Amino acid sequence: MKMLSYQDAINEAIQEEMESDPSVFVIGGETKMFGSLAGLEDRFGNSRVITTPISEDATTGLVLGAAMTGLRPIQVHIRVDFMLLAINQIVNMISTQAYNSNGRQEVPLLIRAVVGRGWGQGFQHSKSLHGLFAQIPGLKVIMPTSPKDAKGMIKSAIRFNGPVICLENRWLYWQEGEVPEGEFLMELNKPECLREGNDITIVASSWMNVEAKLAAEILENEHGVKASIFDIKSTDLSNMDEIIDSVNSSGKCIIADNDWLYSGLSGEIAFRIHEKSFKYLMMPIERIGFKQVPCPTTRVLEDAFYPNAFDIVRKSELMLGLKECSLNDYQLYSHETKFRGPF
Amino acid sequence: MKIEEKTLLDLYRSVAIIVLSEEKIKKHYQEDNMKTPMHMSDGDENCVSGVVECFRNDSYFFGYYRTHSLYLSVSRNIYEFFAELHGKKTGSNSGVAGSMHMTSLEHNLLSTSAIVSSTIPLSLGAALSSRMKKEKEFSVIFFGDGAMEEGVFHESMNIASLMNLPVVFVCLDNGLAVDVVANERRGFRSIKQLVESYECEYFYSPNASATEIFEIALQAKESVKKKMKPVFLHLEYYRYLQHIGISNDFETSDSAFEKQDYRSLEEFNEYKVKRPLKLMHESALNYGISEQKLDEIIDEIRVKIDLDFAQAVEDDLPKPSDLYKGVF
Repeated sequence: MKMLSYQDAINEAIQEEMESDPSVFVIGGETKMFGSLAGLEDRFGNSRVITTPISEDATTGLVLGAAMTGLRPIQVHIRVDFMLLAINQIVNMISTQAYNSNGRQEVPLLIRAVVGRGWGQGFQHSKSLHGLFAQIPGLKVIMPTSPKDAKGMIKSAIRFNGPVICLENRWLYWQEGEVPEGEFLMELNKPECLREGNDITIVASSWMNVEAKLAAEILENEHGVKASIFDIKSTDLSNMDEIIDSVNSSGKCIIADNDWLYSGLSGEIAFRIHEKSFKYLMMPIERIGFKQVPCPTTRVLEDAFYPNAFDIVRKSELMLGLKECSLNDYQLYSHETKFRGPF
Repeated sequence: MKIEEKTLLDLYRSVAIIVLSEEKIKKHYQEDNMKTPMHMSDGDENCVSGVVECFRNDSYFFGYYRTHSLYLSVSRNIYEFFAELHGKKTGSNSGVAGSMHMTSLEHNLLSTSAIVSSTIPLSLGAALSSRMKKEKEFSVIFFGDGAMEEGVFHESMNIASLMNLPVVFVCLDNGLAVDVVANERRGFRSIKQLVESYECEYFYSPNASATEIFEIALQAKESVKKKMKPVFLHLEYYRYLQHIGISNDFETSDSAFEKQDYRSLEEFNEYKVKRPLKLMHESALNYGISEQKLDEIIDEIRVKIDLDFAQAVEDDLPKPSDLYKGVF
């Protein structure tokens, strides 16, 4: 184990995979990616770290063609919002090629994109869209939260023989955490229990795990409430057993999703839990996520747009029948008070 | 340069297989057992056969939604072609593709698409692979002239040229985008100028036989090798039928959405006497192949088509449980 930042963990994952497999290459309009690709061009040359014109649509088609002919491309976008220029390639082409060949055609490609936030990113630099991508059969969507996840999931995603979209929250890049050295792989669809507790179950995605962690600490300090937290980690909900067990025991569940709620992943998670835990639920499942508006630029509205730890605390108090505690002693993370982790 | 007799006969066979297979479709489509939106290749058989024959062994192929000529030319697999159109398990794509998405991985026809222009950028990636892995030398992409009005076409031309990728852009130009004629949708002066501004060598052929197309394709191939730049083949042909389906605009029409009278009857009649197989037939006779030999080839193909079609009709459909096969 060693301490690594999120961006360095990504960097290490990609470097190790490029080292061991000459068919792996990186391509994008901007190939710095907040330090996560630092040094790779020097090491592997510009034939394996390719900077393209700003042509997301063609570049996405290019990585598909490359993946279908024996290469393992990693395409990068500094904002998820830019992927929408290539939505035809992602939804009509990438997701369907294996199916059209009855599973014979492998499509080993990884698209990495950063979810922006803060300092006025506004409505075209802040989307996550995992709910949108989750709806498309043939796409895997992962959301590594910790540096360990970043290394283990990205290494596995590079080796996976189908298309994977990796969404990386910008604020997570600053955190540090313990990461296994060398060969370390993680499953692409396995939620992880980050905290155990029997009073309430919180299921969170990406950045919302950081908020959930703070919320759980406040609940414990102020109310003696023990919350469990599950990091969903991907949009593939085929491994929900531990979450179901937790909800069956707590009877209360909050889903904190770093995305819009309407028609989103949170609704799907809620439905899966409802299906399995119906008779154990003591009240309806609650959801916390982006407000149903485009993300505004000005700070006061931006604060109102994003869900946070205090929202989770207030919602939990309501569900647990507790009086509202004072939150004056607690501070939320922001880009001014960077979250440095670790979990 | 004189092409080899074997090549000429291969070209003849390819054109004949496509033409006669589509005749078979026309004969049986109304029976409603081929439940797929039929996008017929009728007219482009020479263009596709000529290019495919030239690039067959050293290239990746990509097509668009008129897959029939490309699929048959690349694979010569009449049986899997008809099984696919019938939605059978034994089809080229186990029935999930139908008329618009047929591929043949074993013959390196990797992707075709119902979305105009969508396969164009895939050819760049395969070209990059051929450079990095050296398993193939070229990447050949077929598209209609309407695709040049899509943004990704221009992005792809730009990247192919910038990265010196061995891409062979093949524009099958019938002058129609569904029912809109070229001068009603092209805001640029000429295809040649447009393409050349991307430093891409331009080759042109109007309504030629597969033999002539093959020779042009050979020149294009040499150009890619010599200059290490993409090339562009602008191949004009006449679309005899409506955009979709087996009817033409004049003698029969069953279109639910195409305009009427968007092209002239005079033009249709002019091309009616230059049918693709006739062009290829004349080319073969000029080469010195006997009428008798050509007739034998036609008979042999007809027999094969009837047998393969009948077998395809007999074959099993996929099982409902096959629904989930092939999704990552």
